Amino acid sequence: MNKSILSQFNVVKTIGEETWVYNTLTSSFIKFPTKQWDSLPLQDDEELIAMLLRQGILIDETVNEVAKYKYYFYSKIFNKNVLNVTIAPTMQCNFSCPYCFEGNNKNFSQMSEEIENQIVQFLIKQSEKKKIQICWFGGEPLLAFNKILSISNKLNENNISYSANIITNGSLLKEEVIKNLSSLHLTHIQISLDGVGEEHDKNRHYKNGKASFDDICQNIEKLLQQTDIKICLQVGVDNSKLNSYRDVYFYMKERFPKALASKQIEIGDNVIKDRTDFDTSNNCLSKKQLFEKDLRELKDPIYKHFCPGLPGLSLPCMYRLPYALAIDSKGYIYHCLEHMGNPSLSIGNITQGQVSSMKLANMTFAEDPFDDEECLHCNVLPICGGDCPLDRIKEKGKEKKSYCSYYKDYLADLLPYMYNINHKTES
Amino acid sequence: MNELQILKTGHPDNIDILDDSELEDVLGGDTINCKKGYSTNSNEHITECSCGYIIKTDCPYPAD
Repeated sequence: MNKSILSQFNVVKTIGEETWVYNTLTSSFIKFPTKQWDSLPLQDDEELIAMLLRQGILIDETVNEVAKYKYYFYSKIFNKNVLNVTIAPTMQCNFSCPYCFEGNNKNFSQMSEEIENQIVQFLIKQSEKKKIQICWFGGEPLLAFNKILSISNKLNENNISYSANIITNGSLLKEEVIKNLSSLHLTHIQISLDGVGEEHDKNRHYKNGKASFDDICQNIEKLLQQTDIKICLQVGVDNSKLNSYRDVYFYMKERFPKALASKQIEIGDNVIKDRTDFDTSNNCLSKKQLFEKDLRELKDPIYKHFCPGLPGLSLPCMYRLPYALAIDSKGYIYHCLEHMGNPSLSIGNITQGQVSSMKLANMTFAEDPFDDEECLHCNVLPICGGDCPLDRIKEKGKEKKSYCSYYKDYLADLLPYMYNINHKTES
Repeated sequence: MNELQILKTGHPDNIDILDDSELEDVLGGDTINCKKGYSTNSNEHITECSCGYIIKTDCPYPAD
């Protein structure tokens, strides 16, 4: 039998006689008596060793754990079974949120019929070998609902099998839109919120400054009355609105209790992290602030239903995936939503029917974490995946890398609290 | 009581790579960002891409 050694992916926190260990590759979470933990990997208890090998806390000294994660990572990249297409039928928007990453890239008007037909032909061809998933995006996609409907109808007429979702600000989900949603094959509608009432309206208002929250809630009400489409509320959380997620949760629980209970409404949070060149308003959460927020939520019973959980395996985002494309209203093709509307960052155009393989390859392997010594020796690599490729490119060569996951510094300190809230039994 | 407790079972190492669905459970199924069966965020039903723009809701909470 080969020698067993401790996994490099164990994140460990010891407090007195108790030690918590989370393995970021296998997602196993174990509490040990500290004395027992300290005795590892030298243990005579074969049953214990076998169990810890199964959980990935111990590994056979001859295996390469990084290779296993690398295998997962690249299997995902080269999965040819599914084509994910994000389509912006318009890049224009009826809101003027100050933090919008599309910034000045929203000048493109509605998609022309030529581009629309090119996209339809492309999807018909791809559907012969791949499962098609469409994400309607923008600008505000519902400003060009006629295009969404037209493309969907053409795919339906050709008996193309696909599923779709919409990412919208929710303000245009009016009667005439709702009654036509059934032909879109929607799995869900994602609506972005920034909080409740004035807090939401502070940033997410119409271009003329008019508040939008009440309109959105009325639209949600109509949507719930007339369809069974799932609604996902994605709530932005930053330093100016730390409680927005909680506030939206309780507001929706009060206003739409049945939909929340049946999970027709689900609520997620989008924590606005202090990414490279992203913090234009000084409201993004630094790693320390993110840790403090998570810790506060884990300590407070009121957050029981939505406090942070153990982080899962991180797999490459669309930037590295050849079979995930974003197409803007002029037909330019991108590999990152943040690039949309900026043709200089495109990899091709749908009208050409081709993309640059050089650009594709350079994006797939851009600042590859598996070529980075620091990443290769990091115990949170499987839950970080090297993080955002754009940030890695921007910070290349810098000594202090802001893209490193905050889990690298703080996950261990969160483990006892995750245990307390989810697993500790009252004595 | 201070004794060893498995709080969350790790995903098994042995998967049948010839069974696409089994591997896809690990790799996130057929979505670009959803880490099916693996990742959860706050309310345990929604997963999101690392940049937070896209979420998906039908990922089961990992069974323990």
